[in-house]
Amino acid sequence: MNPARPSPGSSPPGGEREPGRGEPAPHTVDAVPWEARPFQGQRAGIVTRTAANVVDFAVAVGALAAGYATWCAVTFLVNPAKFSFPRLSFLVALVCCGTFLFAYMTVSWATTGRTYGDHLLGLRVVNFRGERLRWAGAVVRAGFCVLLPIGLYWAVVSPVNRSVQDTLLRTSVIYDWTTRRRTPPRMSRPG
Amino acid sequence: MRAPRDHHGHIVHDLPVAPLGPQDAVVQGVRAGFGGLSLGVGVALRALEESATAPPPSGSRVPVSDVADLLAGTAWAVARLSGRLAAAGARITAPVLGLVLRPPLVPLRLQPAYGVNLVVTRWRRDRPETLRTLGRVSAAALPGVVDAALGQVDVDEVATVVLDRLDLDVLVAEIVGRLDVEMATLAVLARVDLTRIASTAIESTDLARVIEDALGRVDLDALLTSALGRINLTSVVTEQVDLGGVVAAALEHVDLTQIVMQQVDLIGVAEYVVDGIDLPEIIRDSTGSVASEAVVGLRMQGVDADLVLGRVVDRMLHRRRERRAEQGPQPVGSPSSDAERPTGKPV
Repeated sequence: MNPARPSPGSSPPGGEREPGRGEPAPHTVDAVPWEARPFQGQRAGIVTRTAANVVDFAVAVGALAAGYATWCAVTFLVNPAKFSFPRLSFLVALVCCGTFLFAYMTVSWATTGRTYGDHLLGLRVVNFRGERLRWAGAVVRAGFCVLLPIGLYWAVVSPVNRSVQDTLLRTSVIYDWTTRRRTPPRMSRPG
Repeated sequence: MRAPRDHHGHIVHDLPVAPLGPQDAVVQGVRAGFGGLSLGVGVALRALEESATAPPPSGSRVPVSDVADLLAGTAWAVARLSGRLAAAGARITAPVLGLVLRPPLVPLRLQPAYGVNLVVTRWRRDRPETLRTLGRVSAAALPGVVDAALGQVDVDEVATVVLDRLDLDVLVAEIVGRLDVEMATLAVLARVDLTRIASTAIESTDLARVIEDALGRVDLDALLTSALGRINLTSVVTEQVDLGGVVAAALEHVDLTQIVMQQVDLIGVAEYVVDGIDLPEIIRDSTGSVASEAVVGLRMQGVDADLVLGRVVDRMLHRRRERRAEQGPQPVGSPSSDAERPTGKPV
């Protein structure tokens, strides 16, 4: 028994090409646990999204802290004799945090479709076609989220689990535990 | 043809035959008598020849049969001459006899013919009773007579002689032609214990030799091909055979692992499977998205919390329809666009 092997690289990923005779039929084997597969592709609820945002906010705070430490280190190295911790007003810190979050979310959504918080909670942001956001869409949504974070909680009362930003921009935050840059197909439970 | 009988089974002689005259009756009687005489002489001569113990003496002698034939021929010639004379006398005496039987000017009751008719009438009246009496006597005496007769005869030899003279083929063909063979067969089978006969036949038969002989005469390939062409072997096997038991019994005697390792290109199969299932993508998923059991637990708890909170809010808002959490249009060209669309009702 010697099965015919396809030549390496002859079958494109994703299985778009019809398999020839002797070639293995492309199969999609998902690493997502069975218990989570029914939820893949559905819009996420408020708890998961809040948790993801908390993680992202923690990332932003960490980044600000790292920036502040860097600033202190540079100041110290420039003039150690007159070194003192620089004072940072709340407004400046808020603006810096908002700016970082804006850039962070924009780049994340436009490139991978998910921030680190989304990745940790298994979420992905997609447009009305179910595709990754374009840069313009990511910029607008990130700005909207930074300026009106409370809009997230419209998802609590929304019958379709959509925040204000999602409703206006026709985007969705879905469960997606895979690393593929596409929306995973919904699968049924085994047995 | 069976003779007609009355309700007691006795033969009656009222057949519609032409009345026989006295002259013809005498002729027939004389001929029959000579026939019986010839038959009796033949039988007697044969019995004498068979019972003779001493060999015939040499020399030319006149055979007894020739002597007997000479005597019988002489008697036959005398009888013929007597018959002709009697016929001529009857023709001459007939008018005289009629005048005697019915004399003119004599009352009817006093004529001799009247007395003759009276005698004949009484005989015809009493004849059935005499026949019945004869029948009863015969029924009582015949078994004894037959038994006594058969006691004097070698029945086996008689049967052999009869069978030698019979054309059995013609006789059997005639019998079969008159019989309803199917009905006769069914009647025989109804009275026969076929099971016992078959058992006896099987016990007294060398079945192995019979089967071997039969197999030697049969074209087994053609027979099996024809039989298999007429039946659905797959359905028969799947319905009648315990396939699980057969496979289990076969696997008990077979080292499947060794066979697979010897006969199967496992490396080729493994590469074939890996190429078919996109293993690198699976590894990326396993190590990238599902980092650890803790992350999986966190995600599942988040999903459960989403569902619970959504149901609570829907209940507070008196919302009867459940949340439509399905995503919008699927990406074009992705597998999910051809897959089952989400129903929005988390399972």
